[in-house]
Amino acid sequence: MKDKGLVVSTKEDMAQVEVQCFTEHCQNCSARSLCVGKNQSKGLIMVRNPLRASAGDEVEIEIPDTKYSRSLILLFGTLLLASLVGLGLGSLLAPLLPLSSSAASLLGLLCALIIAGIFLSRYFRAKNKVSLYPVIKVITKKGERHG
Amino acid sequence: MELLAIFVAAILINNFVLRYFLGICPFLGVSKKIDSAISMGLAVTFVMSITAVVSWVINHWILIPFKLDYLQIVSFILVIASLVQLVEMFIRKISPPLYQALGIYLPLITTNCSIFFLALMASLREYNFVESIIFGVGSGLGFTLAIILMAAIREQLDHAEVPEALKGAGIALIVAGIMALAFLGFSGMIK
Repeated sequence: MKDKGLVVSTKEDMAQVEVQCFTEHCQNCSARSLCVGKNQSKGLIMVRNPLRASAGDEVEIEIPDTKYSRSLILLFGTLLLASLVGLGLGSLLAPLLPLSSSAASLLGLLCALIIAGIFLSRYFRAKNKVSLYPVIKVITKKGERHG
Repeated sequence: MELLAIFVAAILINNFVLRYFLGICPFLGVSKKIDSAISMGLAVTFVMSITAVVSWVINHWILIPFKLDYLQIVSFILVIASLVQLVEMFIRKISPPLYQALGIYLPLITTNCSIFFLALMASLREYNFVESIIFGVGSGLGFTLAIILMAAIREQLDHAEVPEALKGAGIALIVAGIMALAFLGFSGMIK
């Protein structure tokens, strides 16, 4: 998967890129209009900058599909597992608490989701630092576009 | 035994996609690769499970005691949209690249009619708390099963000689129809 973006700033071997709303997969999507309202603000991501693109350059970024699929499976798999474990534990511990079974399950669910959230947050923050996506092509240099 | 029947029925017999033809948009849109299908399936299963819990709580703790049953549809829509919004905010916070990559995923879940149907059906069938959860998880797994099977078939179809006129959505809908017929075979399992 490739994405286009505009280099906002650079620092050593990294660049901060303002990516456009849609990935190439979304171009022909019939439900694309659903996203327009939501994602009008562009996202900033940090990428590796082996081509030494400078601020103002339009660049192309390579984003491997499998990497995202695995991350998504991990993210939603963990959240789903945590919810089920939380609900189950809450229900099991209900007789020990001054709560009804449904209230205890709900409490268990909330606790499990918070714990899973903290775990995922730490995991992805650590991962974001080491696995940045590279700039693979400088489409237009800043000067060229304005000239 | 009753819980097992609800679970199995939600996955195989009353499969939301193949029996009721609900959630067809993500079913067709995200079933080109098995990896994407698994992540979409897990995302929908997670949202369905949480929706089942939260909608039961809202229905039984607020709407029914205060005789506000007529607000069910509005409140369930709000529950689903808020849940997905929360997940979206969480993902944007922890991993902006992943949030970017999600693209259409999360809006597709918000507008997935099968999730809304789940909340309404659990209320109509007057399921208790545990039954609602089992129904939610089972329905999500049913969706996941259907979308993974579809993705596996579509990956194979890439290597098949499909007539030009049927390429894309045409052959996908024919496959979905045949899968629905196959799943009809499960209908006698539980009465």
